[in-house]
Amino acid sequence: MANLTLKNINKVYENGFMAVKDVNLEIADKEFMIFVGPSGCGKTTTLRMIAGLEEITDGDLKIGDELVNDIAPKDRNIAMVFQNYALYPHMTVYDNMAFGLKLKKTPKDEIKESINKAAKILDIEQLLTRKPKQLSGGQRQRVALGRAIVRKPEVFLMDEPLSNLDAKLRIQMRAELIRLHSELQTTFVYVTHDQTEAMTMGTRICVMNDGIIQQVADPKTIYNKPANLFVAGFIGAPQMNFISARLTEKDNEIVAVIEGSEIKLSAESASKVKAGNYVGKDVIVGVRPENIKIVGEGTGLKVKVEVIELLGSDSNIYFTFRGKQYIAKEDGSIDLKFGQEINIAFDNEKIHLFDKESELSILL
Amino acid sequence: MNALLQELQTILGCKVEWIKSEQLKPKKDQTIINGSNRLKILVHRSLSQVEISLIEKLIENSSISYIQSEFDILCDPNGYKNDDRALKYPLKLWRILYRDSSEEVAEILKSSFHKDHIINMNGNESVVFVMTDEITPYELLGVLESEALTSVRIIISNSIARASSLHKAYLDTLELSELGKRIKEKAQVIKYEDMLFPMFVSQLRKANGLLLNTNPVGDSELEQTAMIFLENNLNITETANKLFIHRNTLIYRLNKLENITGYDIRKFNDAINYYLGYLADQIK
Repeated sequence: MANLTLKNINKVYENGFMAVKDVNLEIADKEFMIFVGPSGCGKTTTLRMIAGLEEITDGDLKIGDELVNDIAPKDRNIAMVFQNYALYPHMTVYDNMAFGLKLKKTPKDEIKESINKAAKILDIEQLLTRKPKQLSGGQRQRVALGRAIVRKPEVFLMDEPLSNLDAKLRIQMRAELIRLHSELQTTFVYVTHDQTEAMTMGTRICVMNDGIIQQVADPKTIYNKPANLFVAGFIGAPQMNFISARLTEKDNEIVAVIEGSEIKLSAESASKVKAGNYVGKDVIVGVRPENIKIVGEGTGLKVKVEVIELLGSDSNIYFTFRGKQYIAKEDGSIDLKFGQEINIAFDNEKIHLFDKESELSILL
Repeated sequence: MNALLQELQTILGCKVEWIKSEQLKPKKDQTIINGSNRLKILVHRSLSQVEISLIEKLIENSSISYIQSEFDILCDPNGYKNDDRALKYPLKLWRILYRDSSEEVAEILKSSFHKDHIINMNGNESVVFVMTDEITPYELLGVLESEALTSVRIIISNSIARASSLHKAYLDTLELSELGKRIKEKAQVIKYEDMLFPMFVSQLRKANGLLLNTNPVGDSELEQTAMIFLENNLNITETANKLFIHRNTLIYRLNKLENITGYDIRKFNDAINYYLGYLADQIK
């Protein structure tokens, strides 16, 4: 059992900089938890505190039922994989994988058994006698993972392990890591700034900003029900569009008024708006690019196409409305020209609303 | 290891190493014994007062060459003259600082560098003479942290052209380490060439030659924004992306900084002036 409990965790550096603020999080046994957020959001610091590589200023950290705040990293039964990994150039893959176990004075037979098992899982059995120079980037990364696997840790801690790989290899290794997690049945904690990695790999995602947890949920919830403006903007590419609006009641329905144009809210959204006393107030409307549709003349909002990005299956349409640029995502086969005037409408079932002051979602 | 340490290890039956006077407080199962003016001996077990006195007597009666430590090459301005290790110049010193797991760190370093190019200064510091680029400091950091499971910082000296500069370069790494803690607290690799301005300001401060009057910005968010803007070559888009803020938010913050400090750090000269003022304020 290797569930992790972070309770009221704070990290303050000597110069007073507070890198992590009151983090509370339960990571279940065998979970694949992703920490994601922009540079400096505290995700790596949190991972390093779990590893024991950074001291915890305040709060409790438990691995299983054991409080590990004062336990040395090597006694926490964890393994780490970093973005910058090096293999000893003069050693074979086997010896590279055996190195950590030799340091721990593990018996030779046990080392051999562990390496063979890890090599089989990673499909690198045929590479064990090779030197690092004879390996491709992906194979080297597998060996680095192998070094972690042979430790038989209760928790794998990974800090941007795919960042140094090229785009194609990164996609391949993403799938490898998902398979590895299901095969090893061990807790994974993974740090990335890449929202695609977060969305595709995690069983749950912990979005951080300014040292504070913004939201913890499964990928679908994070995408469809972002807790606040930050999460809504950070997750999703192209980014969610944000527009100021005023909510008013009209003919027993709630509408968002945007620069004179009205968007009717769904019944579910309307009831939450009423419950939260937002009628008559200014809010921020969030719409994902794929929830903006081109409609016929005389309906929706009239806008001018500025840029068209053809991506094959999809097209990103950039348009300006009242001096601000927005993005719509349409089918790749759509035929539009630069400067063309089109009418667009929002899918009102999928509109997000955020409080202007607190930036929290109104609809949760 | 020199003959004295070997002899002490045999007598005491535990690990014994030199440490520099100002370094390391002994843990409860360690004892520190006075070795010479600059050096002390760290014994990895607790000793009785009688044992301590006997060892101090043994050291006192030893000849200078007998107690000469392997790290005189770094700690003594003339230490290089008596050192016979084969070093090729130019080289750089990598000062590797770690919290614990000294045995594992030593094994990893031995597997990464020639053994004559490594000096274990004490249980928390090793220095390596690096002459090739076979491994980057970031790669070494990754290996040390993932294999030895200890937090590591690597301080890298300037390029050293001759043996007589080794002592000065080592002293620079001591200063870099302290400056790094103040200026780049989270950075785990500190390079001399990235720290020229901080070194310059620090040395002026020490010589009482820095008479700048600076006013702290007093807003850590603004200061952090400014530092990331400088690190990203005064590029608005890259900085905004890095901070995940809208470029207009960044511009608002830069304008606010200009109102407080008088420097528009979008201009190169103002950026330099602001950075020097910031350093002068940080390094006191």
